[in-house]
Amino acid sequence: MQTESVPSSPRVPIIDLSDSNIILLTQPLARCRVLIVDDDELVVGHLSALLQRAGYEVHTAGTGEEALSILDTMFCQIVLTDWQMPDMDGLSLCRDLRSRARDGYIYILMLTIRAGRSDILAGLSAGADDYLVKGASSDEILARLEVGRRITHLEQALRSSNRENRRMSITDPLTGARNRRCLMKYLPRELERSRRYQHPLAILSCDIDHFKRINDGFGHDVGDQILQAFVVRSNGCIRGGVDWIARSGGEEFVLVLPETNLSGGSCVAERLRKVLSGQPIATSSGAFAVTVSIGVSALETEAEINTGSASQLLIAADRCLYASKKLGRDRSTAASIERAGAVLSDAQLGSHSGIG
Amino acid sequence: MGSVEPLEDPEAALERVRLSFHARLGGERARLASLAEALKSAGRNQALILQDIATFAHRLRGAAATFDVPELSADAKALELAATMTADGLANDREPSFWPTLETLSNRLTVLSGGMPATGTGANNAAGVDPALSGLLDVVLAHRYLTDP
Repeated sequence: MQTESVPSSPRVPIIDLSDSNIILLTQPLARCRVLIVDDDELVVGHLSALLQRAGYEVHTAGTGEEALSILDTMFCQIVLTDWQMPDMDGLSLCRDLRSRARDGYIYILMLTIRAGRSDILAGLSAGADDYLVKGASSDEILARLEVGRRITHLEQALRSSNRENRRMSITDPLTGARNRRCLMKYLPRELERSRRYQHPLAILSCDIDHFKRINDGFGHDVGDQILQAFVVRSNGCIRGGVDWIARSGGEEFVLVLPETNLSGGSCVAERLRKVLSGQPIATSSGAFAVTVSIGVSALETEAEINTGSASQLLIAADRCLYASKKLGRDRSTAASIERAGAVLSDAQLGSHSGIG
Repeated sequence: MGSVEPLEDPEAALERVRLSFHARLGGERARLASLAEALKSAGRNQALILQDIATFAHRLRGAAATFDVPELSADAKALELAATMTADGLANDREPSFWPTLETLSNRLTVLSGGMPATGTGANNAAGVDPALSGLLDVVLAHRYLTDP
């Protein structure tokens, strides 16, 4: 399992959801960035010195507009804002910050001379998380900011953990390829996109030949190394950021190639087959000559793109894969979704067509 | 404004900013005097000048509270209120509390910036306080604020 590296410190907590649902507060707080927003330069100077002394990274703005402009280019965990300012006041700033999606939660502490009960309610209802009246002691200002630091740190840790959980939920932990769940979720989306732009879509269904023999004969560790090497070599044959590979079963993989027709898919399949068979795979138990059987199918005509489904495409590619197996392995077979059935029948009868 | 470079000595920076605030008070007094003059000769634009005075007082009120000068903050608050009320038409600039409030703040600024307050006679005497006593109190307060860390 991959985990994000976090700087170590013995005393400050972080959330860790890696092993259970229990929140473990064992990791350090990163340096917290505060944006001070006030139109009085001396007040800004005073607060800046105070916050820097407490270890915060400080940025400043003289108006709400300037604050928004800074926050557009740099994330600050805490905004310490005055209320009454030229251009855009603190209330409008709060409302604006709450109306936009950002990389993380911004904790807003309003620090103003307005001390009325209705002022406090207005500040909080505009989106401030806390409200402090100017004249509060330095200790109190820092204590309130520390609350903000703790809350934003927890929020960021949770966000990071969610991101990692999401990544894990669509990733095969052994090979780093996408998993079957991801394939079944995102292949239909690729198809929708093909339909929208009337672009072809090809897939390769791959099965490593005689993989069970390797696993049974040399152990799962060696088998795992073969699978990992297969994904590495496959990634070298496809376009980064466009094509993708999913592990659909034990030694079965599907390569998804957007904007690729059947002929293009066949080219990739042959390249992959040659890359794999051309050089043995080094493992801890020695080098293994490994081959792969591949089935290629694609949606490329207007009718196929408009009416074909992800499952039809997968079935067609699988049929071509079985044809490759029937015809002796270490080969690729390509056919449209309409022709795949016939290609498989031909292969089963001993004759073949469309064999690469 | 922008990002703030790390300070080598935050304590010295805090002290420097505090001294800058006190040094600014003379300028604030001059600004208030200029606003008062403008109000007297504003004619139909009085509402705008009153709004400027309210803004000025509000800002001073916040800064004074930040730099722990509560009496100055209170005086500024009184003027902000009086100016806002007058501007809103709830009173007018001849309303008895406005000019004395302004003069009280002006005196406070004078004392805190190292000068002597106007003694204030007749209608301009702030809140009817004995001028000699008021001036003495201000000097005592100013001494405290300027010498306490």
